[in-house]
Amino acid sequence: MIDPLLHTAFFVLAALAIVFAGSTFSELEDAPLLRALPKKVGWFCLWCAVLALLIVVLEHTLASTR
Amino acid sequence: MNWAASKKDTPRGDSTVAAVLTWVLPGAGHLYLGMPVFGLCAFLLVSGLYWIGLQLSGGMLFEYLEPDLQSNFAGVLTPEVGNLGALVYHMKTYGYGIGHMRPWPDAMWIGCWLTACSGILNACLMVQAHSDARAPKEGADPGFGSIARPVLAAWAVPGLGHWLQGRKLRGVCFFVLLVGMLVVGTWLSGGSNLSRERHFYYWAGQFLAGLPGLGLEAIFGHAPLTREIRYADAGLDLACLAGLLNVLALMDVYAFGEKRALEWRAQPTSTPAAPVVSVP
Repeated sequence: MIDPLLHTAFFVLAALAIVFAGSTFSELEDAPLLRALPKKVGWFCLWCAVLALLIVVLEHTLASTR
Repeated sequence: MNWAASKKDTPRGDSTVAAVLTWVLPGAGHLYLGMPVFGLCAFLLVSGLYWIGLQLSGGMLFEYLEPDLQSNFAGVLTPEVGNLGALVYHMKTYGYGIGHMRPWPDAMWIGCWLTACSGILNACLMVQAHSDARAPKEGADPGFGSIARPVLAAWAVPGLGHWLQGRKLRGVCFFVLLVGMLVVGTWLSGGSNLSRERHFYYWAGQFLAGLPGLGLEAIFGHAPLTREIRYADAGLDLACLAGLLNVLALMDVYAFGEKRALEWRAQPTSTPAAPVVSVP
């Protein structure tokens, strides 16, 4: 059995790095980059959750073998 | 028309030709740009690294691959592809070995490091050739010649390229995030993620995080597996992601250096680029 909390922590770490690396292109100054980071990470996690939910629903309805 | 000024602004050569020549043969791009001494030194360094790597590994790198992954294009996703001429020679001469398993040479992993480092170095040399080609033939270089060094530094240590460009806060953030992910991934995988034999293509991703990954591999990467590692896959993913995200950092360092050089060139009295002070 996997530990959901631990996996969430891994995901947040990866999300932070992905969003930070991606934001370097949109924000040239350091201060606005760091200020906007929490909001961007929040949106990233939200949309990842929506995508994950969608995949679970599709898997349950379309790929179920029961 | 001011012919003297026009000649002064003429670039040294076609930047794409210089980069492609370097990709095929290290140093050839600089030879094309009229910089033979630099080109020869670069050739000796980059090709020498690959040659030593081949000797130490016996050219057996691609024998790490499972038979179903052994194709003509298997080398495309390896760091060695940065040195295309050497990779093609490697594949043509050694290929996938003699058709059955045999013991690896003692210094196999060091040999594989050196061939991979040669590929990365040549990729940075391509950046240098591309930038040098855009510098004016005569007159002061507005900073094109100093684009590649921070790029190489950013590969070697994530964040170091930003630091050298004066963007220290950004550099520290990159270092903490990427090296942190690499360390956490290695810890979760018990070091099993760092073996090129075990994870051929994931290793290539991790290699993009530079010397911290190589240091961790030297310390933890070659221990025998004696137990089941619960989060080995998660650790492998995190460590590989750290390396792949460092490519974005490399691109950011390159783009910043290029922007500075272009800004200096656009100024009416262009002078060589001064060090940039970090913006608070």
